[in-house]
Amino acid sequence: MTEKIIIKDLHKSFGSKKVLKGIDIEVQKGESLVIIGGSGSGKSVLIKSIIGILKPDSGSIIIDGQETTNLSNKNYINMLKLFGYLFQGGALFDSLSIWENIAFVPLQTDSLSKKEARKLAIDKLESVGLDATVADLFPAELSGGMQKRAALARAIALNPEIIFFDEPTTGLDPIMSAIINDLIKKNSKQLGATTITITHDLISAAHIADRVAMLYNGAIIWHGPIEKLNSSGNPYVEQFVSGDINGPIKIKIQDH
Amino acid sequence: MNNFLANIGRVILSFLFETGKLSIFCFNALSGIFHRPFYLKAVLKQMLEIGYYSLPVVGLTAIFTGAVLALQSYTGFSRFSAESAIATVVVLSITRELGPVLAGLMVAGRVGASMAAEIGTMRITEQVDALITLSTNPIKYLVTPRILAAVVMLPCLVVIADIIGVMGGYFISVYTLGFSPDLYLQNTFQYLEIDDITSGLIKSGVFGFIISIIGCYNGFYSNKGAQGVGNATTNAVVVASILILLSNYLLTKVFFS
Repeated sequence: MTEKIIIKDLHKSFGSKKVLKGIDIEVQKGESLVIIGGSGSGKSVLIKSIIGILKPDSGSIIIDGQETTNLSNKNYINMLKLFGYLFQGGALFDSLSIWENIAFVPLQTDSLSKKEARKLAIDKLESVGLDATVADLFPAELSGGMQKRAALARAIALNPEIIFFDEPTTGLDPIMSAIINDLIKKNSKQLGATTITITHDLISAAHIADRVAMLYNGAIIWHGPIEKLNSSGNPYVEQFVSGDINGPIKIKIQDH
Repeated sequence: MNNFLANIGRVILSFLFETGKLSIFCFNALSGIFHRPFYLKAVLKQMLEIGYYSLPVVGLTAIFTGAVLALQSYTGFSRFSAESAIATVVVLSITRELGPVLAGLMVAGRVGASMAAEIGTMRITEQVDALITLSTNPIKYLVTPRILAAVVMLPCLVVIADIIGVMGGYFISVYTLGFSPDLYLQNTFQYLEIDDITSGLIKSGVFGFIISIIGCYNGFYSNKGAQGVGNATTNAVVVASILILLSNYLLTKVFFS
């Protein structure tokens, strides 16, 4: 096994608010890492910092043995080609049809003809269980679950080596969640992709994770194989897993 | 006293911070013009959106402005028998000031607001972030085409507004004030100089830049939630309108002094 992603001492703050306080974690090639944690624990900030949507304040991110925090613009855009990213709300472009969304990159860069791009989009729709009839619809015409699947099709359109899933099951009913979990697992395996999923849905985590890490208060406080999640011996993890109100995790009821 | 000074300092700092941020934003948007890839289709789409679809609102503004100018100057000039100056007053006011300024303000309300709302919604639904993950520079993809389209289309709109505005004055003068059509047209063009028109067109190009950059900037840095997008839209229109009036004064001073 080789490390695909290595993160060392990653820090990020917004103004005086420290969100990430020294994250250290590695992800092996082909592994599925699930990061769990409460709302506002910095999960989204962490994966957005890894892909470079947010710029970390300090620390190091190494992908395929190369430091990525100081890449030139051109190399950064090249690096992005390794990534697929499924956003929480799908983030499909409203002004483009579903197939234009999925084939966005080939259409923008003219690397495929219009006909080939459309074929690619329909193939990818098929691999997320949607048929060609939705290709010409607009995102607003699809249900939430279908939008999520179309967004998944866009995330895997260019056969990425690394895929990030941001709360893939949030806002979906249990059956649709199970379908999305299956699709994530199936497609990641097919591509041999390394994936990082952030979620607070433990059923989803149990389904797709090889390994779990728990983020609390801007740091990884525990990580281990998914089988160990229920016997972690870590009081924070135990409280999170059991959903107990009492425990070391203090939730501020009122924000100041 | 200390508190008072601290507040002044805070306001100044935040003003400097915003100005710096806006300058960097402008620079990034403009540098997009010179580097591949070029989003020609997006520019054409925006030209249609900004130019063609603004025609009704700009045309209506212009025709009533021309008409009311003729009526009001008639009231004044007839008091000292200078009715023949009406045509000149109408055409100079329209081409030099009212055409560009009113078209600019109307477009700021129509297009500036929609730019802020559209980009703001894209920001809060993470579509802007999604562009980054799809190897696309969001400023270049969203902002640069809008600026190009606005800078090109505003002068076109103003040419049309000038013509329609003069027509508005013509109709009122000929059909309700009893001027001879030939004489009115002759008076219109007699004292009109090319500078009167070009200065208006240059102004309107500047206004197009202001409207698009302010609209996009507010949308791009919109805060979370419906309220964030609402504020972005309001700010886009208010700030663009004020900057149009301010720059209009400054440009007039530069051109004609």
